[in-house]
Amino acid sequence: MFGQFISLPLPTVTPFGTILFDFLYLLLAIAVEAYFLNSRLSFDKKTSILYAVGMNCFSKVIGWTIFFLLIYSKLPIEGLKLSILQFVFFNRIEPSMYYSVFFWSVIIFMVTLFLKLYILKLLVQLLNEEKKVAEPEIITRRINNRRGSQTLTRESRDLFLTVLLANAISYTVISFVIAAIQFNVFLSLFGA
Amino acid sequence: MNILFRDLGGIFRIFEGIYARIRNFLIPPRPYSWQTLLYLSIFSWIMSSFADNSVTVKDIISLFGWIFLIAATAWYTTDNPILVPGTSMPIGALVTGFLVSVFAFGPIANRDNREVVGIFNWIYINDITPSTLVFWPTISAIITAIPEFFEGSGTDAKVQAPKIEDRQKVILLLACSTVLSCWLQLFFLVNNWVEEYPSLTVESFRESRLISGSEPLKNAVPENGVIILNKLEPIVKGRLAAKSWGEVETWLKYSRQGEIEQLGREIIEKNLFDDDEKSLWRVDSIINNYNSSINSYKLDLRSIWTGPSANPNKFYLRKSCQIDRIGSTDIQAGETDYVAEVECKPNAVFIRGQRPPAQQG
Repeated sequence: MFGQFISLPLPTVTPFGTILFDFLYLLLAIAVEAYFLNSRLSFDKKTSILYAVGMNCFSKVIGWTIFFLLIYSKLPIEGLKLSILQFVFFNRIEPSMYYSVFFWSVIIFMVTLFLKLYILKLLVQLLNEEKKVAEPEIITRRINNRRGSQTLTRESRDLFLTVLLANAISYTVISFVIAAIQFNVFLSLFGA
Repeated sequence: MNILFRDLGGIFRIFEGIYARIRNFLIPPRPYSWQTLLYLSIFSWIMSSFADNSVTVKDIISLFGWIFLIAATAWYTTDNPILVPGTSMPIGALVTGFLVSVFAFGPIANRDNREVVGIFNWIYINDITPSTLVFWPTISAIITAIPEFFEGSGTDAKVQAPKIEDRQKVILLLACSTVLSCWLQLFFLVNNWVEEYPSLTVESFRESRLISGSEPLKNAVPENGVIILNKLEPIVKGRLAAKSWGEVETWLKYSRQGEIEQLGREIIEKNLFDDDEKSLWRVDSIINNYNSSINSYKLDLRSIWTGPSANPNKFYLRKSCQIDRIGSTDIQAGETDYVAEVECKPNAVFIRGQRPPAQQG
C-alpha cells in the first residue's frame, strides 16, 4: 500500500499568494460593483451585494475553468506556458512578452465584462420571477444596418453601461494594487 | 454493604442508559430508514470481498455498497441538519459530498494518469485522487441545493423551483464552493508544474508573489543536466578514441559543434525522464585554450537550460575535458602514432546567472 512512495522529495509549493490575491480581487470587485449596482440601477443594498457576489464568483469560476482546460490540454502553447511559469515561480517577465501581457489583459477584460453582464441578467431573471417586470421604455435604435434592427431597451443599456463601468473601475483598482505590490511601494513608503 | 450494592446498581443503570441509546441509534424503528441502507451497504462490501474470482461481479457489488452508503449518509444527515458555522450548508452535505467525490472520481473512473509526487503521493494510495478533493466543495453545494427543489417529504416529492429566499442561499453557497474548488485545483496544478519541470526547483521561489515554496537545498543541481553530460562524456570519448591525433584536431576545429549538438539531442530524446523538459535543454561545447600549446586542448561540454529561470541569464552545467596527445609506438614501422587521450572531470559544474561563454578564436 505504501510502495508508491518516491524517494526524491520534491518541494511542495502552495499557491497561497494566488489564492489571497484572488480573494482580494473578489472583495474589492464585490464592493465596487455592489456600489455601482446600487447607485446606478437602484437595486437595494442587499440584492446588489448578492448580484455582485454572483457575478464575480461565477465569472471567476468560468475563467479559471477555461484556464485549467487550456493548461491541461495538449495544445501546443509552450511559449505562453513557459512565460506563465516564469512569472508564477520567479516573478519575472521577459521584455519580449510585454505585448503578450497587454494583449491577454485586454482579452480577459472583454471576456469578463460579457460574462458578468450575462450572469447579471441571469441572476436578475432568476431572483425576480415574482415581481412583474415593468414595461420597459423601448428606445428603438438601428445600431447597425448590417445586423438588422436591434432594440435596446433603456434597461438593458443601463445594465450594460453599469457593468462596464463597474468592471473598469474594479480592474483599475486591482491594477493599482498589483502595481503597488510589484514595485514594493509599501516598503518604500516605510523607508525600507 | 447496601451502599456498595446501590452504587453498583447506579453504575449499571448508567450503562443501561447508554446501551439503550446506542440500541435506539443502531436499530431502526421501522424498516424504511437510513440504518437499513447502512447495513445494506456493509453487507454489500462484505459480499464483495468474497467475490474475488470475477472482477465485474466484485465491481458491481461494491458499486451497490457505495450507493447504499451515500444514500444512508444523505438520509441521516438531512433529517435534522447541523450547519457548518456561518453558512447554510449542513455538515452532512460535506460528508455526503466527500463520499460522492470519492466514488465519482476514484481510480476506476479516473482517466488522468498524472502522478503527483511529494506529500501528495499518499493520495493515490488511498483511492483519493486530486479530482476528488477538487470537486468536493462543488458537489457538497449541489447536494445541499438539491432538497430545495423537492417539495413534500418521504416518497411523494415533486419537482418545483425553489422559493426566492432559498434561491439566494443556494446561489451564494454555489458561488463560494465553486470558487473554493477552483483554488483547490490551483494547488494541484502548481504541484504538477513542479513535478513536470524539476529543474525549476534548483532556484529559490523567494521572489514569487504567487507561490510559497521551500528553499532549495544548498547544493541543488538540476538532475537532467547532469544526466545529459554524464551520458555525453563516454560517447565523445568513444568517438575520439578511434581517431588519430590529426583527425582529432580536425574534428575539434570543424565538425565538433554539429556532432555534439546532434549527440546532445539524441541523448535528450532518449534519456530524459521528464518529457516536458526535453525541449528546454540544449547541448554545446567549446574549446577552452585554442591558442596555447598545440598538444593539449581543453574541451568544455555544456548542457544549457533555456526554460524559466529567476535570472535572465539562466544557468548551465559544464564538464571540462582534457585532450592530450600521447604517443603509441607502432612496433612495425618504428614511428609513433599520436592519439588523443581524453580525461574528463567526474563532476559537472553548475553555473547559474551567467551565460555560457562563446567560442573564441
